[in-house]
Amino acid sequence: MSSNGEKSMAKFILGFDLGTTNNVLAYASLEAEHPEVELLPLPQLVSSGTVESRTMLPSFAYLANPNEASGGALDLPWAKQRDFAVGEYARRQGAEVPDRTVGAAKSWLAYSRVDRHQPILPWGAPQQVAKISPVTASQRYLEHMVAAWQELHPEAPVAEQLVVLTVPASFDASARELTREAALAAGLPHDLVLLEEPQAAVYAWLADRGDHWRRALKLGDTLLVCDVGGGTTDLTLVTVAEEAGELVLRRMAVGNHLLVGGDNMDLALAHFVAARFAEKGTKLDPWQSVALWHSCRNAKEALLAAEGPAGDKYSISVLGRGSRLIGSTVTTEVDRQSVGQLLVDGFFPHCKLSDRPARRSASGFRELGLPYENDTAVTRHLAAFLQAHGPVSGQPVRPTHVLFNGGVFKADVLRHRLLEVLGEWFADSQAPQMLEGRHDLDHAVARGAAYYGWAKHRGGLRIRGGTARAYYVGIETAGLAVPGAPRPFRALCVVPNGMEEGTETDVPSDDIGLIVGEPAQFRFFSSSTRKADRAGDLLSAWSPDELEETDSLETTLPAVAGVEEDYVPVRFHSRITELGVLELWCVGTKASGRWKLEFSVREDAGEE
Amino acid sequence: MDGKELANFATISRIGRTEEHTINETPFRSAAERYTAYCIRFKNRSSRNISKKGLTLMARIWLAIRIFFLVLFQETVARQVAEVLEKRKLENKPSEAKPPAKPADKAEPKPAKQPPKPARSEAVTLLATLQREARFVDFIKEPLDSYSDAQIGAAVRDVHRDCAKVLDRLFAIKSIVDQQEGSPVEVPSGFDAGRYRLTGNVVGDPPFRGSLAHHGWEAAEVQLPAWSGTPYSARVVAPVEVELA
Repeated sequence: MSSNGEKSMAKFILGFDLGTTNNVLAYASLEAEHPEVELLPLPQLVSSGTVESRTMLPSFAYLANPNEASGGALDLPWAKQRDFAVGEYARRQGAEVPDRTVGAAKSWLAYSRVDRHQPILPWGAPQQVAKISPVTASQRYLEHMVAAWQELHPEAPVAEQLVVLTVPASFDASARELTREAALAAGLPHDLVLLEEPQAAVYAWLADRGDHWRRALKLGDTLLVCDVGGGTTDLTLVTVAEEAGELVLRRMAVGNHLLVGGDNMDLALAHFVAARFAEKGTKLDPWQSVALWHSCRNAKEALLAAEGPAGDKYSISVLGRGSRLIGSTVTTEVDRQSVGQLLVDGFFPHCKLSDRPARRSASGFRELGLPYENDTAVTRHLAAFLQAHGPVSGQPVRPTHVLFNGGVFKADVLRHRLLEVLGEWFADSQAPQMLEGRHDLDHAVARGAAYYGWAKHRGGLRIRGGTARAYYVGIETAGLAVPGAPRPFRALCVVPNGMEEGTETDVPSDDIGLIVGEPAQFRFFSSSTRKADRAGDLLSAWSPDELEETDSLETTLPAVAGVEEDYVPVRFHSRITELGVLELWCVGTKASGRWKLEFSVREDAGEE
Repeated sequence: MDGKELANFATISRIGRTEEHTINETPFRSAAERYTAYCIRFKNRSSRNISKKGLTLMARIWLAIRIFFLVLFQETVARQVAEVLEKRKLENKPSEAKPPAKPADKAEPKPAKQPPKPARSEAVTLLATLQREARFVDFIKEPLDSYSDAQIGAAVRDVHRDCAKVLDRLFAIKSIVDQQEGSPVEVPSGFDAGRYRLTGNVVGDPPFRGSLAHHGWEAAEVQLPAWSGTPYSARVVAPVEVELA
């Protein structure tokens, strides 16, 4: 941040972790000598009319029936006459009233096949429910945290503080832009900084270690950040480099947005146990199935703990629904070994470094909805990630250390398994080790965000890296039009991978003719794997894995009086702001003038 | 002071004492805490005075001194005393404030006055939490006669685990002393009878030496949920559940 952009009235740095399943807000005083990061207690509804403080705000929104909301059952200390609830109560309702509960809004933000501004959530809910958009849902979670902050610190308005908001490293430019939009609508300041979640986890580790981090990591080391949350898996590589005699951290690569996480494991266990019940002739009704899912979450933690329950059997019960609890409770026993196999081998199987995740089934009639991963094997996704980011093609990256993040890794067995698999892959040299020090799996991202803000303001180690992706604009080539066949199509690199914050570049290319007076649309692509491309490179062929299409870009050039031509020749100019926001401009080559390209609203999306 | 007011003050001094217990959980540090400890020793005497003969002059002087210090050092007591004085002021001049109000009340059907939000007993809030998260009330209210131990055992595991989670979250319950049960412990002089319960051959003066029979439990914090429902639902431990098809 440039020095004139600093806010003089800021007293605190706030770190918001807007998660797929949970939100956390951490803060630190800017006046303190050392960064002392605290978690803000978040008061939230836990039941109708009952407010309790927790450190995590579950990312669920419950859209109540108007009758239910009257009488102030959903009121909060700072908000009366509410007709919706977010947090723990909404999460509970999600199990029993799914048609009125929004979940995983963040995954929808990253899903460019729908219009994220349209009220589409809860997905597939009946018409009577007043749906909300993924952007609005995210805004509500942030608003809730802002209000909780304001309750406790009325003297320090959020808009005047320094704010860091985390996003998955795998979020592309449009998902980041939508996150920013939700944040600004929730009252966060315009100079808020977006930070990638795995980097935040590294900052949390740095905050904990202080200057001793140099003992754990040395020049040339490569750190793998493995973040498996409730719904998503996010992979990042950070290397230790040297700059002007000082050790610096550099973010080298990020993985794709993988929709597989702890919830999949709970569900897998629930299916397994439901089959056991079926064998015994017990059929579970929908309510019991939900209760079973809940029991399985608890059972997973107990079964995967290093010191598990005594004996080889573990009983899982589903309590009766009515007030007759004992009489209608059903129970079955599972043995530890088979559950261990199911979860550990199902999600972290032994595999070869050359293995690849199974592809999605190629059905032409795939239902629109979140693209959950077909292959739930985190280790195979990891293998593909390491292979894709090797120094030379065909040679994998060799991490020396691993930093875990996300609630899933509370289970020792899973951490051990991941390290074991990594050890097998790199058997010829020293096996990757778990980074020593505290791994605060639930709160590290928010803590790290607050620490990062503090270090940015007061001076401290920062991870460098620039953009995690390269970006491309689709250009139709001129040529003879063939009826029925699309014109040949090329991708022009406008932002190279690793372009640093606060830099800009002209994109060398042939002139591109923009029609005046009507919107010009460009298809827009990103890639996390193509690292050698420079701005101006024109790709004519690529494999479908390499380039991912995201929201298209558009701009409208106003017709200029007195100019006869109906199109203007332009070239592109790209810029990454100090706050990490990507901006693309069209600059006239003959006539002067520049026009900003904006993400366009998809017209085809938003309907079921 | 008339009799009613004295009764009010007596209540306050009792409330004052309950406060004293919570304050004494930590070793005496401030003057206020030393003072309240001093009060405890006299508590039997003052209550005897009230119950048997009404208040003697000496008892009143003593009460005045106590109230003085309690008001000075304990904010809750100060607030309660202020309330009593305020109430007394209103009761002493009823002719001015009340009569005009009454006819108005009768004339109008009922003014849409915002009733003050009734607080719910925290005990009900705790019960509701235990029921919601651990099905505690369902479990305790169900007669066990017709079930086998295995059936009960199956249900109790879940109830037990979830109850423990609630207790940990709301009270952060921990043992008072760290020693192993059965090991020798010393009870310091000036110990608080609320923290240590002596059994067996209790003679002589502290410090006492003995063996630890129970390490005690203590709530490291109290984080009960706040409740904001209607008066009609203030005593609801679990709502009626109706599933709509």
